[in-house]
Amino acid sequence: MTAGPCYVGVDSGSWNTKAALLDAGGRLVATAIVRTGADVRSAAARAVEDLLRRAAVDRSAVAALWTTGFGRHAIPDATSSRTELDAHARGALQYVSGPLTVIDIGGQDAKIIVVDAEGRRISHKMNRKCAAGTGSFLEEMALRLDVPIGALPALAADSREEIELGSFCTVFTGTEVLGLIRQGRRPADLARAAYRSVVKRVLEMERVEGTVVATGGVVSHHPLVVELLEQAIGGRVIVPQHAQEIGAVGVAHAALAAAA
Amino acid sequence: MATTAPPVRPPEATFRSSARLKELMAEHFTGLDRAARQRTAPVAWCTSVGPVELLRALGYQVYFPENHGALLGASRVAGEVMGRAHALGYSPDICSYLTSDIGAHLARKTPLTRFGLGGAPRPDLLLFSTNQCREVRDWFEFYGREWNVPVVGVTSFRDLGEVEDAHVDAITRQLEGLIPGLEAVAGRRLEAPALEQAVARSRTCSDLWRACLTSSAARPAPLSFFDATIQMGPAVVLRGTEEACDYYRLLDAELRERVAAGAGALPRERFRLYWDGMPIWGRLRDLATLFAGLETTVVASTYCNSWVFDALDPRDPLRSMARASLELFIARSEGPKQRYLERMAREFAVDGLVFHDARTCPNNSNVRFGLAQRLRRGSHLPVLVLDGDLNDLRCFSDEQARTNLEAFVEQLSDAAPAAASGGRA
Amino acid sequence: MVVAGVDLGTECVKTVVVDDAGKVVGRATVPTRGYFQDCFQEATGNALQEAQVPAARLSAVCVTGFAASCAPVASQAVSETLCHARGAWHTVQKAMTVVDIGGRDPKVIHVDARGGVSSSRSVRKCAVGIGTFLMFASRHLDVHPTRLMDLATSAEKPAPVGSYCSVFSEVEVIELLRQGSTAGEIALGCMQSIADRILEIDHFEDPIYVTGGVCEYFPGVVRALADRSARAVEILPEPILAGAFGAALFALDQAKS
Repeated sequence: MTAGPCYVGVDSGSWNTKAALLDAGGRLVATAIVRTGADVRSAAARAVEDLLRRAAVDRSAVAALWTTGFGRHAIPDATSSRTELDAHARGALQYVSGPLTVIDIGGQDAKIIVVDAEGRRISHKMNRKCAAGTGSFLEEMALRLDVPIGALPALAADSREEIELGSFCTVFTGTEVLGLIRQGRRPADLARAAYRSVVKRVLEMERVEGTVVATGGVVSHHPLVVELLEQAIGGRVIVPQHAQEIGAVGVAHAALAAAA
Repeated sequence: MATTAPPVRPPEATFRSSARLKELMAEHFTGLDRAARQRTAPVAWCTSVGPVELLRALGYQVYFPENHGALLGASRVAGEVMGRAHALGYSPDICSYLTSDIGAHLARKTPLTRFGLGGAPRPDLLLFSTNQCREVRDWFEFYGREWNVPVVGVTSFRDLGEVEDAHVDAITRQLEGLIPGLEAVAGRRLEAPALEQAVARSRTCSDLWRACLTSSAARPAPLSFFDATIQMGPAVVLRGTEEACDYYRLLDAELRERVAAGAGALPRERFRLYWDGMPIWGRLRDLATLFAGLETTVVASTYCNSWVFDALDPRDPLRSMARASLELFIARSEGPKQRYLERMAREFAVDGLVFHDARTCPNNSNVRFGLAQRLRRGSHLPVLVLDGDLNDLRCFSDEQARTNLEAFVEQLSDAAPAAASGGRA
Repeated sequence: MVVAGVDLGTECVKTVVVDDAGKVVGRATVPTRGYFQDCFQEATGNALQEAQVPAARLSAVCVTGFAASCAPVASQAVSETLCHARGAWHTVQKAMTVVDIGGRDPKVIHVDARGGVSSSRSVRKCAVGIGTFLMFASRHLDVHPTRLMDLATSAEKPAPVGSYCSVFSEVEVIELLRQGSTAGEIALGCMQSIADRILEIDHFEDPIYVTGGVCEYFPGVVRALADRSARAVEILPEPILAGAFGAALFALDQAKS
């Protein structure tokens, strides 16, 4: 049981809604993840319900509920909100101190956030209006390779040959993959090529410096992305615990800080 | 408790001068229409920073297709008609002013109906200068073919470091070379005093418009970028006329009153930003509302300052016109651009710069050669890049732009703890 | 004598079997999945079964489409442009504009009075102008693609869908749902968005005939094409088979010569 007031963060993403609960001392008590679907509000309600159950905390103990993510303005119970950029930087800073670069790869977008030694965010970059370098890209590739998205990492692990995917656009990369299948290239090699393409697109966004932290759903479920990121930048990439829920954790910390 | 969604009501800048502005713009369009239909004066089309003074001195009525492009964007007609131009072979990757204007012509659609016009006034001649981009020439040549009228112009220098005498000489010779053709269509000779008068009026207009823009160096700023994109109408389409000068005397006086009274464009000004690049015409209002919700004023812009021509000098009309056309920001290389932005940032005491990377406007998207990063690293100015376009809203994501701007303001709040208030409830 | 035409597309593989009079005696469509060779065998097998003809009796096989080179047996290969034009010409017999809207590569083909192709232009690399976009849309509206048309029919006005990238349009879809647009309005908006991209490809000359799989499953796109261009737009009978049918006619030429 958690005593005293609690702080809840909800990250309303395009695919998943994540929630995190902190106690008054800033300790992470529980997290929850639910599919967002078409109804952002009900997803947030389900996530919070699940969160409170996991934390064994009564709703009355919630002192503040802050939101972040794509649906941050649509959640009626919210006390306040911050953008994903702020939430991910704060979340990452719970695990690593600055200066650092946060690479967040989500379902529909990718972000690079630069934080200075004092923990202040000094710049950020989001992907162009383009899905290359995001989780949707991997979904489309899995579809074209005729495997469930969950099976993509295992498929890629079996790769023996390096293939370079050249298209920028997700849908046209889909055509390119079909063409490569037509030429008899192995699905495993194409799966690995898809991961390399994501990493390449993300690193094209901004120069990466200092400690590098990767967050978001994609790195949590596709560890090969992290491995390829490390190869590309020639250094370590830290994936914090709760990488997928880090935005929710971050915005819960913002709520706590505002209460202090 | 309230969430942080910005207020629904957009900020309305209620200037006393606005009534006159509406009148003036309406007179401009109806005058052009009359001239074109009743043949009371020759009609010329001109690029927005082209050598309009020659046309004024020769008695032309002057129409600016870029102004029409902006109207098509702001009225969101652009999105409906651009496809017509694409189907004709004008790529979706080139200037969306061009594709929306040609598309509108083909579809016979125009926001000018609000001034009683059925379409753009038919020209007797089109005059371009490529000091801003090559597209203007291709744009004008379409109409030249369409109506079988002469297309003349200046092929200018671009990406200039320092503007040297040799550059000015070359452009001056081109301007001189244009005169016989312009005279032939106008049916009269160019008189020196008439040209001197047009240049003098353009210079006065430029000085007054600059004074209006500079009023926003005050804190709080009385004139936001969003208001200025409306207020700049006469500086663009009536440059070289006395009416434009009169209008800016009116506006300047009103802005001085506002500065004296401490009245800002927004009720509260937490942050001050600079805007570089084209406006996103179809989202001007939404962006103004978003910035207002963030209590952030866009106090200055490269765009609105593009109609400030310091070099114009009635004592040396042609050479000063040539120099003014070359000194423009858009015609310059990265070095002068960076120095200009640093100076503007200081002069207007901004907290950060927003660069609009307009997909179809490479010539007025100034982040494509690392300038934003150099400003951030070298001058420690916070910068944000917004992807979008002047008229093609397919290149713009509302969600992403909102998140980008909110995150930028959060970043500024964190950097200035005194101004930050945790949640903006 | 019987011959076959096979169109190996990115969404479906289609086979048409015709007799020596050019009459269709067998037809089959299978979704593209895994290897094209397998899809080819399945579609062609099904079409032959309908025609009640063993594979050995095929005098010629002409292939076309994105994966024409994957066909395990073929006596010739002809471009999609020529096959769609041929298929449409056979039915229409006059100068026309053929608009082929398939999964990935829509085309505007001008056919002259003798059935020749005078010009053909394809869409630029933009995913919102292609049939696959509707597959994305149905995934995000959480309905089977075949239900999308019913939804669109139920809507009175389209929701504004207008991005270049189909994946970003998915975000728009969620955003529109949140703002209270109905699934039907969004479905209609998606179809209109495709129509707009297609009208941007080239100018159209009457009469206009549409071929390809999209108008078979999503006639709303054709209606939007007609509305947006303010012209009459006809659908060729069995539009999804037009390319395979044209290919079969080329095979027939070959078998007869």
